[in-house]
Amino acid sequence: MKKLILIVAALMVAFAVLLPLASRTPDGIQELTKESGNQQRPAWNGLMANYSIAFSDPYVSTLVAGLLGVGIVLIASFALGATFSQKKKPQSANKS
Amino acid sequence: MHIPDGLLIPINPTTHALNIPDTAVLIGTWAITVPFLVYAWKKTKSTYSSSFASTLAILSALVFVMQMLTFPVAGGTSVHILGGTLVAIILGPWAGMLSMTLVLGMQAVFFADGGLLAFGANALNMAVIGSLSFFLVKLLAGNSHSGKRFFASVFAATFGAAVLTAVLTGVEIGVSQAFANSGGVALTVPTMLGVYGVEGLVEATLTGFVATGLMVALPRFQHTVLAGINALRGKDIP
Repeated sequence: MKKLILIVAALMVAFAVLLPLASRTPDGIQELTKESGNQQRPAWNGLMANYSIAFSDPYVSTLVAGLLGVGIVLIASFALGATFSQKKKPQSANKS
Repeated sequence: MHIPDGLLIPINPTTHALNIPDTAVLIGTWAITVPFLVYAWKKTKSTYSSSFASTLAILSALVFVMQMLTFPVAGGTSVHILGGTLVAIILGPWAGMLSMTLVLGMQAVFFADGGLLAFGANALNMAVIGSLSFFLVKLLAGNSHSGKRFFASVFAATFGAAVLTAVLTGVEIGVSQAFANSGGVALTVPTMLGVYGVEGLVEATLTGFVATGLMVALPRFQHTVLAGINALRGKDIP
């Protein structure tokens, strides 16, 4: 568990440092959609559309949304992991 | 690389008629993806113990963060790392598929990054194809567990997965009503291929170094949770 917290903390710090370097230009699909001009408003806009949350500073806004996202992914992973039922660790018989 | 919901529309909002190509893509991609996900879940559930959750969580969080950090390519567009091959090499193909699907699901629900209706397509393009590229690594690498041949195998599989993802995404959106009057697949496939071909080269190089490094750095069979690595060393594929 301690290892997990350390790795996740390191990941979050790396994310915070690298985020300002992330590109803000649209991706391939967004660019194509703009060209076609045919996109409809989607029915569902998510809770934090465009990875932003109510902060005026775009860096803080995306950072907080991203950190919340990491938390959400961790919770969902543990929920999924709880359904794994094998008692033995995989291939533990071969542990040298 | 995530297809949004407003692009593939089953019902035309003005004429209220059924958009046949869009509906076919949505239903077709769900129909291909769901059996893969059910198989992946059953296989993972019976092979891994619940203590595997923390490894799954770390890799999923890593993919989430990597996909947020976009980098620019030519033509004013940007790309993100896909991550499917790397996750499959570490966790094994089926657990990797679940990890990728979970990330895509959270992106769609909480961030509207990729549509809910289009989730079948996005999961097929990124989770299914990325994870299945594990088998290409295994096939190409043969008995080579490190060194040049292993690196080349990882490189080829990662690049191949990125190219296939780009082509498939291009076809899925290209046949839709949205591009009916603006070039269709003749516009979308080359564009996606151009953008994600560059991304594929970058990702393949990174994945090659990380995977080769892990094979060298981790002692043989000590790391029971890294089932993908073990499978590449000749154990059964989990």
